[in-house]
Amino acid sequence: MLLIMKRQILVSIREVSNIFWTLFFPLLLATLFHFTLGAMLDQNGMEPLSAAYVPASAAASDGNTGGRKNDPFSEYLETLDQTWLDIRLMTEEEARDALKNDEVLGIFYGGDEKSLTVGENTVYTSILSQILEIYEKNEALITRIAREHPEHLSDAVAALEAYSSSTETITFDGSSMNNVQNYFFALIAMTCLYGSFMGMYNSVGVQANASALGARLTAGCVKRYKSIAASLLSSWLISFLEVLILLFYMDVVLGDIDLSGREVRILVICAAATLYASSLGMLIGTVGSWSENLKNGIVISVSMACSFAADLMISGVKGAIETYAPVINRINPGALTTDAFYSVLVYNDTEKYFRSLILLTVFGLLLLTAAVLSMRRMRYESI
Amino acid sequence: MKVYKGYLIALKTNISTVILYCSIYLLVALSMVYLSSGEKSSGSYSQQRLSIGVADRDNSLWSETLLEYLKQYHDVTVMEDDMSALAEAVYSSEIVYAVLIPEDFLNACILGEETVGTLTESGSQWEYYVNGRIDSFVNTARVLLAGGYSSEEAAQHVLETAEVQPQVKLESTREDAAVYNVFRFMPYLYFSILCFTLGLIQKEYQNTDIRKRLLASSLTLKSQNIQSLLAFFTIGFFSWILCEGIGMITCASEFLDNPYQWLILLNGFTIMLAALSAAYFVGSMAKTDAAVNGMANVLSLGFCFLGGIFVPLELLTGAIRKIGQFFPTYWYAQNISILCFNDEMTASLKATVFQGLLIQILFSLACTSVALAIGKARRQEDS
Repeated sequence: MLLIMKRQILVSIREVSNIFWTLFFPLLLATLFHFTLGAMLDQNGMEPLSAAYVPASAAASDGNTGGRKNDPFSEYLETLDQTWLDIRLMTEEEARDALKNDEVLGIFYGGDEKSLTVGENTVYTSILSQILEIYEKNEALITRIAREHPEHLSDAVAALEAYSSSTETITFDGSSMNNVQNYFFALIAMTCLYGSFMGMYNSVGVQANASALGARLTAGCVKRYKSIAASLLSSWLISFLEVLILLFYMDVVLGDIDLSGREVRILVICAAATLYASSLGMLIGTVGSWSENLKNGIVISVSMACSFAADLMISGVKGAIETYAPVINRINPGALTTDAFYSVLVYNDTEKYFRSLILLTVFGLLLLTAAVLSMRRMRYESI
Repeated sequence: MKVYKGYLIALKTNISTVILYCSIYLLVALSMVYLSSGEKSSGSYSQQRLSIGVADRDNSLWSETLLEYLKQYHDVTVMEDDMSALAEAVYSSEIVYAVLIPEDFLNACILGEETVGTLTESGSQWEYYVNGRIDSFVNTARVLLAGGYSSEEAAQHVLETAEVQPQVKLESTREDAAVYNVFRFMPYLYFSILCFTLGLIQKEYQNTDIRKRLLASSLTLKSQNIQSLLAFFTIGFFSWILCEGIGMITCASEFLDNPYQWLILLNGFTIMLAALSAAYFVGSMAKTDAAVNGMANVLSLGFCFLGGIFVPLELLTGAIRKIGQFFPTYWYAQNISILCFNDEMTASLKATVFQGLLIQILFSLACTSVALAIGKARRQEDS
C-alpha cells in the first residue's frame, strides 16, 4: 500500500497544473494579499491629526497670529494628548492653503465665536469637531453652575481640571479585531478546499473506467481497499502539506498571521479541513461516469462557492448566511475553517473551535464512507 | 482577410467567457453604485454616527443615562452581556464599538476611579472617537455632581448638553464616488476578458499545423501579423464600447455630470490597449490552454492587486507603490482618482493625467513588440 501511495504522490506532484492551482496559486494570492490587504490591516488605525489654529487676532486683516497667552481655547488645545494631535498656529491665509493642500484636516478659529472648518466628513474630522464641542460644553457647564450653584463653583472647576480618561479597551491576548484578517483565513480555507482536486484526481486514478492508471491498478492483484485507502491518504497528505507550506509562508515569511503558541490547534483544524476536502473530492470523483473535465468543473464550482460563502471574495457574506441560514455555515468547510481560525487567532472561543473541528471531521468521515461505498464493489465487464 | 476573419470566428466559441465576466462586472458595478449612494455629501456638516453596542450590567439611572447620551450621537444597539457575541459583532463589523457598563456604575466609574470596559479594534480611529464621547459623559457627570446637583438633576443636565452644538463648516469638494467605484474596476474586466479569450485564440494560431498551413498560403508574414493585430484591435474596440457602456449605464447621471467624462473614456481606452497587448503576449507565450489560464490569472490578478485597482492607491505602502508604477493599472488608477475627485484641473494635474495615458500606451507598445519578437524567435527555432 505504501508503494501505491508513493506512486500516487509522485503522479500528483508531477501534474504541473494540479500543483499550480493547489499550491502556487494560493501562495501567489497570499503574496498579493500581503502587499495590498496587508496595508488595510491598519487602515482603521489612528493616525496623528493635524489641525491649524487661527486665533482671533490672526483672523483680523493684520495677519498677526499673536501668541497663545491669555487664550483659554488655545491652552485647552495644548492640554490634549499631543501624541496624536498636532495643532499649528497659523494665519488665516496659511491655514486655508494648508487645508487645500491636505496638510491639515481642519482649521480651528478662536475668538468669541469659535468655529471649525474641515475639508471632508470623516471620523478624523468628527474627532476635531468633538474637541471643539467638549470645550463649548464645559464652558456652558461652568457658566450654568456659576449661575445656579455659585457656592459649588470651585468644586466644579476642580472636578473639571481633573478631567481624565474613563475608558479601557479590552484586548484578547493582543489579537487584532480587524476583520481584514478574515481574507487571510478564507485564503487558508480555500487552500484546504483545493484538497478536493487531489481527492478527485486520485479517486479517478484508481477507477478502471476513468483512467489508464486505474485500469492497470484494477488488473493487478492489489486489494481494492488498499488502492482506495492509498488514494485517499496520498491526496490528504499532499493537500495537508500544501496548507502547511502556505501557513509557514504567511506566518514566517510574510507575517500576516501569528500562529505562535497556537500551532497545534491550527494544524489539527487544517488536518480536519483537508480530510473533509479530500473526501469531498473523492466522492465527486467516484459518483457517476462523467468525464474528468466535468468532475473537475464540479469541484471548482463547489470549492469556489464554499470560499465565496466563507468571505474570500466579499466580506459580509458569511455574516448574512449566519443570520438567515446558519445551517449552511455549519456544513460549509470554508466557513467552518475560518470560524476555527477566528476562535484560535482572534477570540479564544473554545466552544466554536471544537464545534468546527467536530463538524469538519464528522462530515469528512461521512463523505469518505460514501466514496468508499460507491467504489467498493465496482466491477468492469468492459472499459 | 482570412486571418482576420479567423480571429472573429474563433471569438464566437469564447463568447460565453465574455458574457460571464460582463455579467459579474455588471453586478459588481450595480452594487458599487448602490453602496456609493450612501456616501454622497449633503453639503452641511454632521459628526459621523457609528454603530455601537451597549451591554448594561448595571441597569441604573446612570447607566440608562449613558445609553441615552450615546444614542444622541451614535446608532446604539442594546446587546446581551455576552463577551463572545460582542467580540463577534465587532469582528464582523456589525458594530464598530461595544461598551460594557459595569455594575454600580455611579460609584465605580463616575465617583470612583474605575474605567468603563470597551471592545473595539485597538488603536483604531473609532476607539479615540467614542472613548472621547464616554470620557466627556463621565467627566460632565462628575462636574455636575461636584457642582451641587442631585443625581437626577445631574443626569438630566448631562443629556441637555447635547444641545450645545459646535459651529463646523464643511468646505465642499466634488466627490464622484459612484463613477470612481464603478470605473476603478474596469482594468480587471479588460484583462480578464481579453487575456482569457484572445489569449486562447492567439495560442491556437501559434499551433505548428496552423502556422504551416498559413505559411503555405500566399499570405506574407507581414500581412498575417497586420491582420492579427487588426483583429485584436477590432475585438478590443468592441470590448471597450461594451465595458465603458456598462460603466456609463450603471452610473449614468453621475457620469454625465462629470466634467471629465471624455478623459475617463480615454483612460479606459488606453488601459484596454494595455490589456490587449497583454493578451497578445499571453497567447504568444503559452503552449497549452492551462498555461493561458494560469498566465491570464497571474497577470490580471497581479496587475490589479499591485496597481491599486482592488485596493485604493493611498492604502498601498511605499515599496508596493513603486513596484506598482511598472504596471499600466497603476496609472489608470491614478488617473481615475484625479478625474473623479478634483473640482479644478490644474496644469500639474493635467500633466499627470496625460503622463498616465502615455505610459499606458507605451506599455502596450512594449508588450506587443516583445510578443512579436518572441513569436519571430520561436518561428525561427521551429524552422
